[in-house]
Amino acid sequence: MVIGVTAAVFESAVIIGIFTGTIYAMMALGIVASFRINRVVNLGIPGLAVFGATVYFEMSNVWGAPVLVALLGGVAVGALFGAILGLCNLKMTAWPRGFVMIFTLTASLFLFGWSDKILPPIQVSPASPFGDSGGFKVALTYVSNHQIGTFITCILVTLLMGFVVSKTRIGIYVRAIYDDGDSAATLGIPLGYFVVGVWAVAGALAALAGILVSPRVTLDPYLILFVTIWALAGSILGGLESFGIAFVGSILVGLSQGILGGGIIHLGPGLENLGAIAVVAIAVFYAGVKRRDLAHIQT
Amino acid sequence: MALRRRWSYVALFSTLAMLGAACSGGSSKEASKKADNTQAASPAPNASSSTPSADPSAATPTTAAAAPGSPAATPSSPSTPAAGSSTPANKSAASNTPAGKQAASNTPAPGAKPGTAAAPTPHAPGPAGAVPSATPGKANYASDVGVSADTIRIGTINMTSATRSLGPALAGVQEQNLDAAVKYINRSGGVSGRKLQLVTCDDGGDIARGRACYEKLKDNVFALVPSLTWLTDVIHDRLPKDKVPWLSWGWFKSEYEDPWMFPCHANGMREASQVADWTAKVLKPATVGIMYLNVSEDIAAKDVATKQLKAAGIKVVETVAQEWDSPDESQHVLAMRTANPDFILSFSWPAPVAKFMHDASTQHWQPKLGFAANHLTGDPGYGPIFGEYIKDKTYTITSWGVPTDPSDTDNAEGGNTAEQQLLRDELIRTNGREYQGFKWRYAGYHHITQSGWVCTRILAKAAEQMGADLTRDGQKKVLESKAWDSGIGSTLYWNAADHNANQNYSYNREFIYKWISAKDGGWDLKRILPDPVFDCKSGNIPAAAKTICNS
Amino acid sequence: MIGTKRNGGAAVADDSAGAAADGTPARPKKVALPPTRLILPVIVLCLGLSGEFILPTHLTYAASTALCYGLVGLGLYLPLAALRELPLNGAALAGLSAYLFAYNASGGSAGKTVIGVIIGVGVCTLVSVAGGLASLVVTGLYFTVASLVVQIGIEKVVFSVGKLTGGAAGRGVAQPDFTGYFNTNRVVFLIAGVVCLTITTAVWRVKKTKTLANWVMTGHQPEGADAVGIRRWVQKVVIFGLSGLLIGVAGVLFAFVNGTPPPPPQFGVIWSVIFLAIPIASGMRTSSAVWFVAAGFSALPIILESHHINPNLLSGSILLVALMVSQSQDAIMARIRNLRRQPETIEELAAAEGIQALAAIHEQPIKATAPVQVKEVDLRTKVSRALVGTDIGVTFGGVKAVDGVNVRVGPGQRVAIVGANGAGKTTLFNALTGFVPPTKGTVHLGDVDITGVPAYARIRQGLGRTFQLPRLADILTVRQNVLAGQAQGEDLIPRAEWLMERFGIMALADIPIQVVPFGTRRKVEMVRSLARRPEVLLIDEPVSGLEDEEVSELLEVMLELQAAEGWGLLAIEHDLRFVTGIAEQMMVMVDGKVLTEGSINDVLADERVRQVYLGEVVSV
Repeated sequence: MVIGVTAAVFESAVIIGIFTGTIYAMMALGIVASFRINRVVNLGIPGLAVFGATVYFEMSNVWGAPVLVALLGGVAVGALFGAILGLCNLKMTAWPRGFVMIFTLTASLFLFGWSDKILPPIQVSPASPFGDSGGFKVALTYVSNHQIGTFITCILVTLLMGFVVSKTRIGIYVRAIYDDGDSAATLGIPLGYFVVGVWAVAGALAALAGILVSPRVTLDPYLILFVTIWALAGSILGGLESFGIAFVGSILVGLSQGILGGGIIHLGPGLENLGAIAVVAIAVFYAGVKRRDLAHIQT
Repeated sequence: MALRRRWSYVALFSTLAMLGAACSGGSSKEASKKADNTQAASPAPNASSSTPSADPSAATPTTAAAAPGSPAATPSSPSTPAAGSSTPANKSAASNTPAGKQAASNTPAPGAKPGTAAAPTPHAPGPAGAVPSATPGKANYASDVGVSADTIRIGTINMTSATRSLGPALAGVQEQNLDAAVKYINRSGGVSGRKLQLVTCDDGGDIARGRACYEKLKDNVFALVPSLTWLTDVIHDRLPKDKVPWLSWGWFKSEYEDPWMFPCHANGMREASQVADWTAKVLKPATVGIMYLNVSEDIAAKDVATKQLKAAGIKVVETVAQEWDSPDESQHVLAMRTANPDFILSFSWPAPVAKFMHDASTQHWQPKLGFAANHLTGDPGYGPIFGEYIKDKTYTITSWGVPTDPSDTDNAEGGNTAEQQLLRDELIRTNGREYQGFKWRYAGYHHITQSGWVCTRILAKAAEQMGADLTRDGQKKVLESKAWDSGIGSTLYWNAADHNANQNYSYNREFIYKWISAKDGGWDLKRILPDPVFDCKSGNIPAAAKTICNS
Repeated sequence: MIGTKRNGGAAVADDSAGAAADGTPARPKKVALPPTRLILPVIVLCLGLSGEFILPTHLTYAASTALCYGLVGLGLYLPLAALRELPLNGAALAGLSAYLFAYNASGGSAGKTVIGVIIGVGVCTLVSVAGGLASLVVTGLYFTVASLVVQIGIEKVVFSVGKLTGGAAGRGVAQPDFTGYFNTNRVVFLIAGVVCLTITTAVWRVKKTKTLANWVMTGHQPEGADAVGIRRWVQKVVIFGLSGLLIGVAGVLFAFVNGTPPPPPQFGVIWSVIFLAIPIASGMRTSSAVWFVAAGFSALPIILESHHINPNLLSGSILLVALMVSQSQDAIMARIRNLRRQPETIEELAAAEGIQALAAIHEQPIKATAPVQVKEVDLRTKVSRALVGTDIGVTFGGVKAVDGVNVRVGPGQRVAIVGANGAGKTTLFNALTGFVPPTKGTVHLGDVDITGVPAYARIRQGLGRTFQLPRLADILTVRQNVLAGQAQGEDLIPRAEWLMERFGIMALADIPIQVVPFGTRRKVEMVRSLARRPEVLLIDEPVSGLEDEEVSELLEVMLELQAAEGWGLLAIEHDLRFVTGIAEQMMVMVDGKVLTEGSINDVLADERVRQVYLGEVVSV
């Protein structure tokens, strides 16, 4: 049932949806990056995001380090743990990918546990790297500097990653390994370096996502995990292959939540999510039919 | 293969190393650590951990609370309800000095006197069968499960190792509150010559672990005291069979329907009813918006409040269902903003409500008359989480009084009482000065941890009444036999025929506080009178209390 | 030559010792399971029994919970192992069943309880079946996300319905009320144990039947499944239905074990991941291991309760250890076997292996595998129909892969199609057999128009086909691959075994396909197609990858069979020696069209055909 929806309300709901989608898109980048090299769905991303954000929080809020230093620290730790996961992947070449996926889940659980031990026993939100105040009013809503900064960062990283994969020699190597690792190795491409390197990049992206997402979502492992689930749904539309489609898919998920939750349509308890779920389901079915070749996880 | 094998070993040992590191690191922030260490000193039989039957400080009581002749040292007689609460508006009661506190403790609460509203009203059915009473001079013996000649073991199941916002922050603190209560009681002479011993079990927030904890404790402890566990919603098939009295935390409405469960604070539906009634009568908004968590308890709370508001002629113009895992609440702020209610009622969870407040703050929007949030969002420790925005516009309803600045004279009864002061002092005594910051406030005045303190004290008083012949059946009867004054505001009464009965309802009166700015620029609460009441006809309210029934 | 018995392979000696003195063939020796494969279920059973008698009551409860976890894990194991699908909705399905059961069973009467079980398990099964049907459209990652959507949908929408999940009041489930040693917990565990043991046994029995091959073929080689006439949608519905049934029973057990359903967080998305991790971490080889991992997840947190270990760290550790063990199980089992001293003397061998085995050892050289006696079979000389494709066209996007091709293979005819790569030969095959829909033209088998008939149904009507790359399920044995999809009974199994013998693969019958060489795989696929006695057989590059000697043998066998049974043969092949050896007629394709056709000699005499073979540009 649609109630008196004005253009301003609709516009506001769309803006809110886009920024909610940006949260998912940030998380989706790491998922796509790691899948793009060896076709493993990296469920370690939420753990890396939480731990990266935890390091950032400790450095900035507890140790008093400058925000930029804390940000670099968090991203570096994310990259380090991402690289370790990549190294594990190399050692698990004989494992079916579904098993490796579950292995990455254990990494998340460990990192969640560590973060729980490090963080204070209350819900915390780290300070935004873009400042905790400032912003501007749009229609009936207000867009903060943090949201704008996150959005721009997300677009820049998406473009950068897309460019690297499609236009550079490194990207060619990455695609070659993705298509057929063994063949790529016979061409002299250093498989190990690339897998570890790309997973390190995925870890860094995850940590960056955690740092940018947690000021808004709060630094809570389970909340970040749920963000990752929506991010996974968004990025799956492109078969986990495309940074661009993952970005668009995540924005779509956010938009559906923004529009359905923004008072435009009145729904019963839980049905607000059902709308978003239906949107994702339709998209998944559409993409699943169109891109069957990308579908299979080897268990 | 060799490589794989080697890798497997490396990974295995890494796991163990990580596990070890994680288990040992960073626990200084974990509130329960100290309690755990203390408990480890004297493990109970078949128990994972326990508090000692008597703490070392018992040997050298230095405070007035432990002095011979004090009410604490000589528990109230079975015929008179506890005299732990202060007189209304007694400023000295709010003093930090033990003397001041003790003075207040010595003054019987009006509501606790026989014949006042604190006692069962005539139309309330009495307990089934005779109420057990102590046989003078009879020697203690192992009269029931968990009871020996010199010890009464009581159990608690808490999600201590759950994620940090529920585990160390709340469940761990709950154990510390219980620990403080047990030590205080033991130091004050115990229970008819027996010492209390607290046996803990950690369910990590997992229902299966919780049930296993229960199975472990049911044959080991005499009774269970308020515990932070989801188990209290699903254990009702067992309690009557095992005859285990459980003074529970009162989170689930099903707890009120279990004859062996004694809820120790009001659940969401009851608070929703009270706050809706209070809003209609005191704030008188024309329109209201409601936000609630998408779980059955809070959906029910929303429905109760909606019905009550409609009956009062107030229009509910918007309802938004929040999810505990919501990443953003901007869309709900937009929904509320579009509907533009005069006042917003919240029956939800701190995280999404905090996000809502932050988003509403950044959008520079607020409902004309502000917000009322259920006690989940009203605990003193939450102020910094919600931000500056909540000051002077957010009310909270809670089951117990909350200490405020001594200048808040409205809070003398219920909030700034001697019992509240005692609770604070005992927490510091038991857990050290670290409670002087965030933790002691949080622990002392969180509605659930307050319940732990109150109901452990009530359990001891009820057991005292039975003396040597302490039994679970007897405990149930004694608990149901009369009203129990908490000393921190509410009076508890569990009707023998139905713990869910509206007559003589335990939490017939609750408390409304408003977030204000503290003198140091932080967050504080201010008592707002009159108090909300569930049923003006049912009594059980101190005569001196200013409520919507008599104001 | 037809009807004679051949050895399975060069490495295998004749088994004359197995024959009885009167000359009648001895019954094939029953192959016993290696003892190590029995260790796991036996240990699981013993541990389960010991739980009943020696565990303290709270751990007995933990064991009951482990059974619930394990049953959900087993339910997820089916689509995971058979179809390679990862359903992320196990927790929601279990919760749905638990709540519906409790809602209807509350009150305790037997009738209500039965209705509750039927509704709970039934709804769970239906939702799972719907998932199975969805997996016909979306698979792999997409299916996983689709199932996640179902999980979140149930969680957010259904679980927030207060009447269903709002606390325990009114949702109590009757439990046996016992005290003493055999208290309620122990009796509940016993009942849950019997239910789980029954289900596990049933699953184990099903795994021993040909059904397993059909399931695995459906999930691992969809086209291979079509090629043997398996109705994939039926298999998926059955697998997901069984999966839902098991999870539904687990949900009922959750409610029964606890006396009421656990609150919704127990069935949240995090648990759906853990439930899925249970079968994965168990290694996916034996269903018994699922119970071990489930026991770990259930019992360890309870046993280690006093250490206040963070649940994430604990779950992560259990999962990691289980993964490590599952991936190293071969090495671990080898270590365990090595712990047992090998029998050295004849007497010890006799004690270990039995007198018969000892006698065999004395009399025979050691063989690679045990030869099997194969029954002679009657060749089926039933009447075959002609396969006629008329004006077949297939277009992919704007590309005409096949353009107006007419083809006819009559009974007893042998036709070969040749052409360069990309000429449209395989696409024509696919159009004739229903693997791609033709954009124009018709396909008839005799008088029956089969143009719109799905691939599996065409196979059932009488077509048989092989693929350029054999579509065999790696984790199945040679025999299972051959028998997959074949109807039970009649003489199909003897015929299949006879064909395996004739094609020289009988000795490898019980070896997993993944370890046999490529040429053997071709033979396996050929046998699989022939076992059904097709009316028209379509073979796609049947000798590529075979040695010369093998090509000759294959040619010989095919010709003899075809002559005896009279089915039509349509072959795609580049090997002219094979083509000229097997075909009477030949068709040359270029760019999706027929360049020329006719008798072998006429076609080979055509200059354009020579040009095609030399790779020169030829236009039709």
